[in-house]
Amino acid sequence: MKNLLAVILTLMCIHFSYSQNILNIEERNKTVYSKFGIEPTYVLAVGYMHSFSLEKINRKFVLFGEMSSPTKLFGVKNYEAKLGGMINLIEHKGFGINYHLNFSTGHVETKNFDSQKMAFANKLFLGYFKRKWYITITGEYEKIYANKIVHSEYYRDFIFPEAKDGWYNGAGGNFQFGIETGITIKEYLDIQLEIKMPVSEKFDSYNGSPAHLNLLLGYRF
Amino acid sequence: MSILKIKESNKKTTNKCMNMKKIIIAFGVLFGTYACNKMDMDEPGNLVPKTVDLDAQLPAISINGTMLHAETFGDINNPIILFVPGGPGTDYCAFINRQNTQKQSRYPNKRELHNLGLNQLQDEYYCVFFEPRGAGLSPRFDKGTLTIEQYHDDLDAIIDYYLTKKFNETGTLDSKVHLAGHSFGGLYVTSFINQFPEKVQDVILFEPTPLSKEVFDVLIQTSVFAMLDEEWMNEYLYSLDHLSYDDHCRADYHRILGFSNSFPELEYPEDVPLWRYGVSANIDLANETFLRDDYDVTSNLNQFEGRALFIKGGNTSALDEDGWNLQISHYPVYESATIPNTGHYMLWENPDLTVNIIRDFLQ
Repeated sequence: MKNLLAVILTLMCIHFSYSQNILNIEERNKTVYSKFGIEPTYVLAVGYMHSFSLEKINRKFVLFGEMSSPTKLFGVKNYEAKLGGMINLIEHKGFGINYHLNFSTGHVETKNFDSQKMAFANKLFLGYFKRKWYITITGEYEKIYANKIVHSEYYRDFIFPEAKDGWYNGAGGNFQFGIETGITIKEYLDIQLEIKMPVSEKFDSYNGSPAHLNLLLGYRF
Repeated sequence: MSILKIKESNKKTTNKCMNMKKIIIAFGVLFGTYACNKMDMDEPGNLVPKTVDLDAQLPAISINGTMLHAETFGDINNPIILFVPGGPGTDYCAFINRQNTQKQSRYPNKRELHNLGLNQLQDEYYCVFFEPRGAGLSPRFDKGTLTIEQYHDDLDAIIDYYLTKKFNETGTLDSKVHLAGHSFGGLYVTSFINQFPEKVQDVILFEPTPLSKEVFDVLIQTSVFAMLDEEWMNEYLYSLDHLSYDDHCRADYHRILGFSNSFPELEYPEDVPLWRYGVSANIDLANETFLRDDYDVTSNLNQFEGRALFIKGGNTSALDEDGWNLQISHYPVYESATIPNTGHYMLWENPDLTVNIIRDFLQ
């Protein structure tokens, strides 16, 4: 686990945050950022993004890495690491559509079980992008494609002794729909705010926070 | 020198290839193992136990077109007591176990210890423990399909089932049973008595869910926001990123994380045993009863000719004295008892005293 974490952390030193607007990051193409919010509990994240111009296809591309942990359960037993990229698909007179894809792995330790998850998330940003600010509506879908579950002694003693440890599929996924906005101050300071509503992939109940809220501060260099 | 360098370079290249090969093989083995051994979260029996419709070893009865998890203790010649668990959606596991004693198997023939909990009453009563549809090890039903009317019909049929069984086996024709309900089970049996007062002799209520909106309004309950800083709540919420609630098994599995902590005023010990927490039943029956603005299961209780015994844990603080008095006064004839140094699961924390109080009441 420690080795895996080390690899992830190393890889993360090559990457992003997200949006701040991909369309105006040519002068300073590296950003470090920190994010705090409710998703689905109080979570603190740090990340790095690096932008590239893809001349051949006339597109801008951002790679990013992010590490987060819930503040109350802060540490290596409860984290999520994301690696991903974002590209502007369409851009016309300030309006644009950006696409974001990331792979994530995370771990949670609970009274009943430990879970290591592997997931992919897609996110679309549809909005208006100016040099110093932007506003978008967002739609995100995260699919959890594998979990390694290990049950606690407590769970076996008091709930289900025959619970099976191992790799699982079929953990489902979640949608999140929301609004995201951001401004850039003095060419190097990014502030972003996003609010989104989670719902399970079958549009049933999410059963956690009714809304997720994140505030991001980034520094470009 | 140049030949040596070339050889060394070739050697390095070969080593790199070998290393790459090893890495590829390692990944291959890893993914191969994952692909071959992965289990399905949604398959009962992996994360949560199978229900009676899927596990023939579990004791069950068939009522109104469904199987229900049910077992009996004692001699059917004795008066019948039906025990109903709470939740909504939980099971009778704690009713037949006791604190500080190893939890016994859900399979009756695999239990090493007997007579631990309320089943101690089997020397004087025919004790029936069951779980309503959607709850515990009774079969799952999709969300939106369970109603309190269905629950009434089921309880009516269960009473008839055991009265008929008694008549067939002993020739004794009884027309009433005793009912006992814990938490939501108390609300459920009261709702039933409100409709069928003639079918119940006496009733025992272990800290029932508020029987009217009036009592619900004075319930003392920590808000979810106040608990956001608590470790269990963070585990509960953060793990939602690991499995969604779309399937029965996943939902039941995850909901257990909130079982013992979500209502601190009830003073649950952390190790209250459980088999399954049926989330669909929990949501449906809560929506059908205490979450409704106009719910009242007491309007016809004056027709009930039996007596009610209310039992509370001495540590529970969900209702203050006025609230508790309001709650118990919904029955025309009632008694109240407190089990000291226990919480909402007083029947599991101190089954001996609970059983003695029930014996005294029913005699």
